[in-house]
Amino acid sequence: MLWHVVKRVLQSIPLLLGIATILFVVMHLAPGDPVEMYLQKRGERSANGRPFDPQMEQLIRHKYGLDRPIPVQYALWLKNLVRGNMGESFQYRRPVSALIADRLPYTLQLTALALVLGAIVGISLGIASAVKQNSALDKAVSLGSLTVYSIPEFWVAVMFILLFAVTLRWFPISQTRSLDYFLYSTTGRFFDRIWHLILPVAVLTLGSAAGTARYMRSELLGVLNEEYVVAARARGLPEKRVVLRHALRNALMPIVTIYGLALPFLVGGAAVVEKIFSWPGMGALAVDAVGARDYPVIMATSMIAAVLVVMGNLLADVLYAVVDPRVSFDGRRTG
Amino acid sequence: MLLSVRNLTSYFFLDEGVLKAVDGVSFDIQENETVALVGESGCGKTIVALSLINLIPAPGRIIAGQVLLSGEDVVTTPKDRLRQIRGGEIGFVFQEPGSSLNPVYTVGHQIAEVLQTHRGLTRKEADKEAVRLLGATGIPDPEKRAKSYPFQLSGGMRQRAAIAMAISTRPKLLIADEPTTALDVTVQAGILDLLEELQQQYGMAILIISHDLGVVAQIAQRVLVMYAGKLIESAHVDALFSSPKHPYAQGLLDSVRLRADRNAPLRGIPGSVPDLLRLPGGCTFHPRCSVSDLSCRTQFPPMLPLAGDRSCACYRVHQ
Amino acid sequence: MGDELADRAFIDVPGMPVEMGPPAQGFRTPWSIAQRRFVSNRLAVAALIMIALLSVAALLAPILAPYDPTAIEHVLQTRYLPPSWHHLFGTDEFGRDELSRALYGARVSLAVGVLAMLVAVSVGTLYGAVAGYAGGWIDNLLMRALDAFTAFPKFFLILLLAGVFEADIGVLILIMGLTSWTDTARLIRSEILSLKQRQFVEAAHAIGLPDYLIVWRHLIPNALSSVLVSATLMVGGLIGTEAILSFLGIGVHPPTMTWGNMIQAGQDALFIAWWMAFFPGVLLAITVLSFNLVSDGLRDALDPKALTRRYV
Repeated sequence: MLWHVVKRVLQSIPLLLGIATILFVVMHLAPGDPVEMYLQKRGERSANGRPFDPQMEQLIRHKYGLDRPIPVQYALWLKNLVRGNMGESFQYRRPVSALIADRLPYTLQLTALALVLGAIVGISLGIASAVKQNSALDKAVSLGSLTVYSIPEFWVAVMFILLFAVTLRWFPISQTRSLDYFLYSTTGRFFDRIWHLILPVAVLTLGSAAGTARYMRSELLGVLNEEYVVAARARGLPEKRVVLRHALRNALMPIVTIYGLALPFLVGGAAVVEKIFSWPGMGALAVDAVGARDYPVIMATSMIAAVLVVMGNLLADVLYAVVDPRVSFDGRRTG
Repeated sequence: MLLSVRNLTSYFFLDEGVLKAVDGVSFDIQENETVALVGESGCGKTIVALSLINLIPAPGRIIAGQVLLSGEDVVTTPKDRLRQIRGGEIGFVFQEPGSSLNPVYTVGHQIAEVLQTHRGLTRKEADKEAVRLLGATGIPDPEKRAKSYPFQLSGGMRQRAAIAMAISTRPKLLIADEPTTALDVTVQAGILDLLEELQQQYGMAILIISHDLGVVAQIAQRVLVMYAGKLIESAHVDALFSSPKHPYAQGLLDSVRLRADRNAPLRGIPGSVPDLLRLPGGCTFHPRCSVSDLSCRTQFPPMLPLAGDRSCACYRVHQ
Repeated sequence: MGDELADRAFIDVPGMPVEMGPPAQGFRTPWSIAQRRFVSNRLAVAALIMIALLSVAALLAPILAPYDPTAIEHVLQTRYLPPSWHHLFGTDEFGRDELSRALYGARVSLAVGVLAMLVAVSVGTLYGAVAGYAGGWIDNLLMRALDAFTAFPKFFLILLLAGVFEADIGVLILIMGLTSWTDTARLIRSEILSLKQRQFVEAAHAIGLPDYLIVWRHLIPNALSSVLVSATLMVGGLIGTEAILSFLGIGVHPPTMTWGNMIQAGQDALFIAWWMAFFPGVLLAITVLSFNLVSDGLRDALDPKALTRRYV
């Protein structure tokens, strides 16, 4: 299987190259001269439009390679990309890779927790409602998960803050730590972080659990109608075993692969929540960059996003092959 | 009397109406006997089979009747006892061997599971016995096969494995629902031979469900003919094949009988099987029957005995 | 009803047992069965009614709105007023009536969602139809391009394009539509592919039915049901997406009001005017939920497998 994985990775390279190219083209088509905007930000240009220092402009252009012809810029960009050099952010004047390294752990704290908790809650609820189909529990879970899934996440976040932070004052409104964080002991800091994590993770978990519950329920219901489940009962196996060993094993397979596809979510899926809670994560970085026309960051995060989607697909396929004995990794279903 | 079915009635409660899949069916099966239940697709045979172990899928239900297994009524027996009966005293072989075996567990594991549940064997003992059973049902290289997944086996082997699983608990009755329909003709004979062999070896009764009269001819001792949810004739296999009494049975046998004259036209039964949601009144066959008269339209004819240990549900026959 | 043969071929719905034969009374087409089943799903019907109500309210906003949503006067007296009989949803930081703003906001939110969906479905149908019908290397090429396109996380792409191109509403609709067409394309293509293989197409050809008639009578009805389910779901999603973008300041900008940017204004005033963020969000939730329920209802009603299960 390893060979097939490698082969798939190699096959993705042209795709990623294509995406990089399109990205480059799109960025250069966009209105607005990045250098002007950069200078505006830095206040080099006065409010009533007096021209700024042309020498400064030249310097900036040269520094970012924006004075070279386009094809050269393209080639340079690709070369740097492969090396892992994603340029320097206009906004923060730091290497993009450093920015990402800083922010990634913060995002992971939110998304990884939300995925795990969402899986636990969602799978359990999904099983319970499928097994007791059409019961009060089932109807509640079905409607509830659809409702949660429909309500916009950012609004839930704002409402949570309103309720739990502003009104009830149980949790902090935003940020990753309290003001006197540095005065805390290690355990104090640990708990302080957790205290700050709870609201954003709760918001993310709701969405994740709702989606998972719906999916689990429908998969399990589908499996429970399969003949091998009826046959298992016909053999006199206890109902618990029939559901949890025979039916569930089959129903979980697509769920596992869905989690493979969640790879991009792990890195960027919490963007809005991060913004609302002032959480310094990858998603917030991307959103801010778009607003600020910070092209190096925009391009870097876009490439990362594309790479993650491709890898996520790959991961999903690998997981499927691992979990389903009928599927071999090169994608062919045997039998 | 091993199995005594009295007035078994199973209906499906659908949005479109009540579907009378099985309507007042009664028959007996002796120990060691092989009985065939025949009829066209859609006549309710499979539901009869599932009713015998009380496993009809929703929205269906047994609404009346008794299924007496050595005197014990399967329809009313409590859940725990029902579990013991299923698989333990009544074995079931499904039509599609591919879909009645769980695709993600090995064949050996699934057989061992049944042994552990019903015969209380340990994991090791069950695994060994599973291999032995696979060999006993004619699967070559059973050690290796036990570790195979269902998709790795051919249709015939899968069915043999399913049979091995069903007889692993030495059931008194084996119900086989169209066990050969999904298989190639060449493989069919092998499966039927296997069933006969196992019956001899273990001394069990077999209820075989089929729409294939060839299968019936080979293996059955007695035949029950069903039409649109009702039993319309019961006879020994030779008697039925040589002289069917019910017009439907006659039509059936007519349409499959070999002809001396190859050029003679094929004989079918005019009309088509009725919609089980909207059955005609009286005898359900009368709209297609060549000998029906007014009395056939009022009430379904009772199943009355005839000479030679057979019975038939037709007014005209008993006149 | 015209061509009997074609109609009967159409009724060959997978999963329906062949032995049922022609229905004894009344002609039950899959459409009427689906209609009946949808109507019996009370939640879906309620959702449909809700959507209708919201649409009407949005359309009639100029008539229904109690105040002019843009009128700013006596700000200091009228700002941040909590919900009351005069102002059912309260007022915002400029004293504008939130209910009126919400009604006008509904226009934008709903319009963007529906229009973007139409763009997506049109593009997707065209793309999928070309790919499916042409087959061969054209199909291959188009599908590869499709896969490449799908490699981008959808929301991020919209964010990127909308932000970088400083989208106004029209461009925003285009961007949202042009990033959501892939599912429709796949659906249409697979319908055409399966249609090409169905035996009754050969039979129809054999009796001299021309191509366009086959497409019209068979492809459209079959594809329609899955596209309908997908389209209603899409509208819900697109309305949500527009809301997020506007909330982030990248979608629709003030002074044009949309539920999303109203919630953003509400976030700024969270401590003193909870109603500003609350009501638009409730409306948003109800709208998206209704579209999802209708989509689910349609899916359940149109699913041929649910008609009958193997019962004999």
